[in-house]
Amino acid sequence: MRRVRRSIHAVILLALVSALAHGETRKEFRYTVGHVTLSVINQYGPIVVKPAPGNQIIVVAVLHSDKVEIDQAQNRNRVDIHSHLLPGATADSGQVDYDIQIPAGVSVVLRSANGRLRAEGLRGDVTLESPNAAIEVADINHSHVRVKTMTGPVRLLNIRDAHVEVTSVSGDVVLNAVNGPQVRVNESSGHINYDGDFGYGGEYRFSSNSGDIEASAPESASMEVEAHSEKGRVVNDFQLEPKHTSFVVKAGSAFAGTMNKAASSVRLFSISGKIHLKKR
Amino acid sequence: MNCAEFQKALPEFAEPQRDTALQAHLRSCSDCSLLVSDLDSIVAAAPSLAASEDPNPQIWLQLEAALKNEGLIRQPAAPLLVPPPQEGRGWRLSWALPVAAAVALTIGLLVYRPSTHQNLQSTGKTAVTEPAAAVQTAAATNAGINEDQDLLEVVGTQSPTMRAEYAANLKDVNAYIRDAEDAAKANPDDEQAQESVMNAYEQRSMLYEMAMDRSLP
Amino acid sequence: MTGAIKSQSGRLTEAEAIERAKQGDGEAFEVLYNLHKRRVYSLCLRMTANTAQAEDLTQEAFLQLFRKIGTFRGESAFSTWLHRMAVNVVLMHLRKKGLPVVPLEDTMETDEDTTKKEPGAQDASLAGAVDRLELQRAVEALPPGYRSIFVLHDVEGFEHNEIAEMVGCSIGNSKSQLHKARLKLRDALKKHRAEKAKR
Repeated sequence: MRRVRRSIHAVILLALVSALAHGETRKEFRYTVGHVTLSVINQYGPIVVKPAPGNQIIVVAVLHSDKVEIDQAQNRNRVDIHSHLLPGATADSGQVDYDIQIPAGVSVVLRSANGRLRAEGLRGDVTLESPNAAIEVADINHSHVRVKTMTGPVRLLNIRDAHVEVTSVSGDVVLNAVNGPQVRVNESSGHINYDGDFGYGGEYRFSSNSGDIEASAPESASMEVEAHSEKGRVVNDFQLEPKHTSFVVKAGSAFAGTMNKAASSVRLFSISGKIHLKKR
Repeated sequence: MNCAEFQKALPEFAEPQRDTALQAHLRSCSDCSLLVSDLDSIVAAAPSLAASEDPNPQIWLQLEAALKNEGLIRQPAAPLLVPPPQEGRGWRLSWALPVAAAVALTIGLLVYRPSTHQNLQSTGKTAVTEPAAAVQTAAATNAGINEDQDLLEVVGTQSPTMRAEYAANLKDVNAYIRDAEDAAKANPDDEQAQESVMNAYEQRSMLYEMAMDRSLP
Repeated sequence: MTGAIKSQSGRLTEAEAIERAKQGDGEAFEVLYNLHKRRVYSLCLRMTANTAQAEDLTQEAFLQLFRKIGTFRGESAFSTWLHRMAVNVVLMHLRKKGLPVVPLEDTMETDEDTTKKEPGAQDASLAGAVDRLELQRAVEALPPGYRSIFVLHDVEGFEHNEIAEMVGCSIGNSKSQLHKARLKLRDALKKHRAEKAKR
């Protein structure tokens, strides 16, 4: 098998260790890569990923004590970084703060038990998961963005022409200027707040059990929309052209219709949450 | 060399810039230079399409069933991914909980995706009839209570706070499953109500995978 | 550096999983599946451009592999072995469906047609990097034969001699059809960008 351009040439080019605050250690790792996936799993502490020019992944990790180590593994198309807690580690002593820069085309998979996760300005796929941490994704175009959380608040900002999938049990999800061929939020009791143009002729699917769904769009939005709550109140601020639906349209609990050229398909569904489609 | 000759020779060269004759033409022709640059961009982006998609979790379940049927899987799984807790039952949980999660998701798929269901039948694979799916759903609900307790025990070995958080969220998700199933039964023609059942099961599956550190690609 | 997370962290290495799978250990099979599922599924999806078919073929490829795992002696990398098997499963499927695994020769179109200059063509160049999603859409829209050649060579990294052997064509044919596939993709990407600019 050929694939010179895809191979990973270097292992660790530089490992710099310097003392910071008492007990803290700073480590820096660099990997020369092509199109690879970077996976970072951290128990305690934030992970922030930003774009960088060139073809090197630069990982700067601040270890808060010697109760935590970093395991690394690198194979043909994947780099794994894993914070490894040692016996007696606590949320404080086991904390590692990651600040990572990656070149275009690198996909990232990030997991932290309770440290903030942030990915911005990336061009590869982004998968973020945390049971409780705040998750932020910003300034991303033409990628797959997947977010999974239990209680952590999720904020997606300025994401264009992307496949977006968010699954959250009770954390609130805010989407600001997000569009693409598929934008999906699966929520249980947290709230969903969308402010955007429902653009790109995409499919937008927001659903919840008891969480409220609020979506704001301009009058120029081109969409066909169906909104329906089994037990919650449903409010629509737009004048829509009528359309056929698979449910009974009833004022106050459901509405459906089209606007402008109806390029995008929007489905808002809740079992007991309120739904409000607002004019921006 | 003119453009036609250059473009005729192009397929033979992985890197035309390195061939002297082609290089000379490239320097003098902006159109061909642009063509080569565009093709290079396509070639450079192509590897990003490899290993870029996650398969449906159902595939593993079907594969596992086939491996068992053929006798390739011959023994219960051993403890590999989760350190055994003190009581010594972790070996079973490490294997059973993710499977339980996947089964929950499969049931969601069967309930929600009649088209997939028909597709399985038509391809001769194991398929479940509608009443059987309903029975499985009820059985799963009962079994689910025990599975939740097992999961919370495992999570509780890490921290009591985390156990409480998982307990609260499992309660949320189980309520979602009940409500979604009620809504789907009450509105059999409502596509969104039907889809909500699938969404609810997907959430439960996510919680199990997250707890077992198995959700990430 | 190892190819997988160390067993110290509680996970099996690939070599350990292979040995245990040979003994019929269910979890070892799952470990192997999880290590390679994305690569195999993505290959099937890119080659067929159809989710349902890709799911069936992924299952089939792993099943064939696991049936033969007892014969794996490690002469080649496990991933290479699996990858080859997955490609063969997909090619077999395409042949069964009567779809071309190499492009049907264009009778109405020549290289000159595809690459002829048009007024303003320079303005419509791709001008730099190609995004993954737009390339993905363009590849999905390629005719099946072109798609196979492009995916095997440019996405999956097979050499022309390997492709020629797998699909049953000459090396020269593989090269020329790959070139045509790239030209078609270039046209599709330019068209997509032009349409997007109009919106």
